[in-house]
Amino acid sequence: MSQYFLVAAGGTGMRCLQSFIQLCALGMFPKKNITILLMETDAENKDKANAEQLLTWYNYLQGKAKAEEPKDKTNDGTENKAAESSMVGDYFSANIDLCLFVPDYSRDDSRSFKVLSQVERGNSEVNHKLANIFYEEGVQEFDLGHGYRAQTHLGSYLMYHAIIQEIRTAISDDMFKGKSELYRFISKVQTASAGDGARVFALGSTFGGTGASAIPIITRAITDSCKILTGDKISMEKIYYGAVVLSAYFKFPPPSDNHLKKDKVIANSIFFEHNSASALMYYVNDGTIKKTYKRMYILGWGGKGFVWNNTDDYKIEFLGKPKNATDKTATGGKAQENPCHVLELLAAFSAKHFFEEQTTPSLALPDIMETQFRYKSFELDGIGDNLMPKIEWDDLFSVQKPAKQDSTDAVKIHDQMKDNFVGMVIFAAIINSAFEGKVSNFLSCLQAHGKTFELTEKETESIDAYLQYFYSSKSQQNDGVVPGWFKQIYLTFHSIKSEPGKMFLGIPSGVLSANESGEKWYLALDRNGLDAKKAQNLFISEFLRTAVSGKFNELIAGIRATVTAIGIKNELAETLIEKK
Amino acid sequence: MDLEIFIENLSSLLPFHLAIGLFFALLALTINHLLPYSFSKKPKDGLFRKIVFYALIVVVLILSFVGDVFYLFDSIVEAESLSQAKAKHLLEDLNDTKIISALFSLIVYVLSYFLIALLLKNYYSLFKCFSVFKFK
Repeated sequence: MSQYFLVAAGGTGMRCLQSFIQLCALGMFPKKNITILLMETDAENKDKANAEQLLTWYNYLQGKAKAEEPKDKTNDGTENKAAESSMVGDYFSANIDLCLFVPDYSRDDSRSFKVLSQVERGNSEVNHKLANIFYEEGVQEFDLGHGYRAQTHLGSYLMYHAIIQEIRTAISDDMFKGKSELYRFISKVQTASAGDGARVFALGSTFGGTGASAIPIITRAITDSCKILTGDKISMEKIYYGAVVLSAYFKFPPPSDNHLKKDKVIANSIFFEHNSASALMYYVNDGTIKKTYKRMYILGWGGKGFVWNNTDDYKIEFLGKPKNATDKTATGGKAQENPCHVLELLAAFSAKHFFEEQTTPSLALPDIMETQFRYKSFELDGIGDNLMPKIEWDDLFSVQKPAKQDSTDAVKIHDQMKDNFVGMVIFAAIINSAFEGKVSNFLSCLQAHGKTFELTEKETESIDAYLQYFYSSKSQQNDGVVPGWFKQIYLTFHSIKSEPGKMFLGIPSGVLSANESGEKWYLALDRNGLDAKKAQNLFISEFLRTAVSGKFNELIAGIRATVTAIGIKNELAETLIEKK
Repeated sequence: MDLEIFIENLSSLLPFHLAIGLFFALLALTINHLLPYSFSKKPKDGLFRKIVFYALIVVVLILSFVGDVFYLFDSIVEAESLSQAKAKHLLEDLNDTKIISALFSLIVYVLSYFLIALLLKNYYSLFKCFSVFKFK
C-alpha cells in the first residue's frame, strides 16, 4: 500500500490544510499514516498559525490511541484489501506527522529577490539587466517576509531554490539535518518510493503567491531532492503526484494608492481571475506538469449563483475589524486570516479521492502517462436571482465503481460521512450552548448519570479548543461570536450575511447560523416534536444506552453512536432552498 | 370478626402490605422514569429521583403503620366481647406486629423497585430508575 504525503502551500493551502485536518478529525482517513509538509513563506501568517494550532490539538486528542501501522501485505503476500476498504472510521483516527518548511526571508541577506540573488555582486550592471528581463523592478525589491504577493514567476523560482538549498545544507551538516523538517519529509518520500510507493498530493491556489508558485515546481523539487539524497539512485516511477488547484473564489478590497505607493507590489483580488486563467492554461499545456502529475483536481467558484465573498465583510462582521479600516490591504502576517470556504472542503476531499484505493487504485497509477484532470460541477437550485449551488454528501466524495469486496462500504459511505459530520456538529453545539463550552462540565453531567470518562488535562483543553474552532467561539473583540470552521463554510456558502431558513448538507440553519449558539442542536435530528427538554432527555437516554465508560476515544465514539441511534435528518438538497 | 382469630391469622394482613409496597414501588418507578434527564454540570434530576425513592419509603412506612392501626382499631372495636385485660394484651401484641408488617411493606417496596429497575436497565437499557442506587 502506498504511503500518503500532503503538501500544503500558501494561504489558501493553509485553509485547505485546515479542512484536511478536520477531515482527519472527522474520521475520513481512518488508520492512515499521513505526512504533511506545510510550506509557507510568511512565518506569521494567521492561517498557517491556525493550521498548526489545529494539528497540535489533533495530536493531543489522538494521544495514545495511535493509528495502526498499515499492513502492506497479508501473510500470503497479497494486498491487504481489508485494511484499505474502510473509508470512514473513528474520529481522530489518522496518524499525522507534520513537517514545516518556511524559507527564512526575514534576514538582511534574504529579505528580497535583489539581495537574495546577489545581483550587486560581480558585474552588477549585467546582473541587473539579466534580472530585469524576468522581473520588474518592484518585484525584485518587495519584502518577501509576507510571501510572494501573487508574483508566481518569482515565487516558483525562489521556492524551488529554497527547497533544494535546504536539502543540500542538510546533507552537508548533520546538526542541520536533525533539525530540518523538510529533510525528514523528503527522506520519508524517498523511503516510501523505495517500497510500495508514495502518493504525494499538493494543495494550493492558482491565483495567489506561495501556493500558485509551489504547485508547478513541487513535483520537480521533491524528485530532485530525493535524487540529492540518494545520489541519483532512485526510481521515480513510484512517486505518484496529485494536486488540487483552486481558482479564484474570494475577493478583498483593492489596496489604496498610499499603500500601493509604499509597498509597490501588493496582491489585488481583481487580478485573481486573470491569474487563475493564466495558471490553468499553463497547467493543461505544460509538458512537465502533464508528465509529473498523475491527477489534478480543478476547483473553481464562478458564474451565476456562485457568489464570491468579500473577506473584509467577514472580518468586519465577526473579527471586529472597523468598517472604515480598508485603507491597508493585508499582505500577510497576523492580519491574513480569511474565512474557510466550501471549496477548501472540496479540496480536502480531493486529497481523499487521490489517496483512497477505491477511487485511485495503486495498480492504475503507473499506467497514467499524462495528467488526468478531474472536476465536479454543481447544479443550481432556486428561482430567479435566488440561486445557489446544490451540494449533497455524494458531491463531497463518492465511489463510482466500487470493487465487489468493498460494495458494502460504498453503499454506506455517505451515511457514515453524514453521521460523523453531524455527530461532531451536535456535540460541539451541545457543549457550546449547554455546558459553557467546557467538555468537563458535560463529563460531570454524564458522571452524575452513571457514565464516567477519564480525560487527561491536555485532552480536555484540546477538545474544548477544538470544538470552539470547529463550531464557534466567543469573540475577543466584542460580545459576539466568531464562527468556527464548519459555520464559516456554511456562511461562505450562503454568503457572509446568511439569509435565515437555509440548510447546508441537510443541517438546518438553526444549528449553523452564526448568531445561533447551538441551543437548537436537536433540529438536526430526525425526530418530530422535539423541544430542548425532550431532546436533552432523549440524548442522554441514548448516550447511556449506547456509550461505554472509558477514555476520550470511548466518549467521542459514544457521541457518534448516540446521534446515529437517534437518527439524523435526511433531507434532500431539493428541499433545502425555500421555494418562493 | 373475632379479633383472636385475626391475630392468629396475621397473614390476612399481608396482601394489604404487599399492595402498599408494590403500588408505591410502581409509583416511584413511573415518576423516576418520566422525570427527564437534563443538561447541566450538576444535574438535579438524579437527586430528584433519589428524593422520590426515599420519600416514598417514608410514605410506605407511614401508610403501612396507619393501615395497621386503623385495621386493628376497627377489629378491637368490633370485638366488644373481649375483656379489658385481654384487649390490652392483644394491643401489645399488635404493636409488635405493626413494626413487622411495616418492614414487610418496606421490603416489598424496595425489592419490587430494585427488581423492576434492574429489569429495565438490563433488558431495555433504561437507566433512570436504577440510578438511585449507588452501585451500578
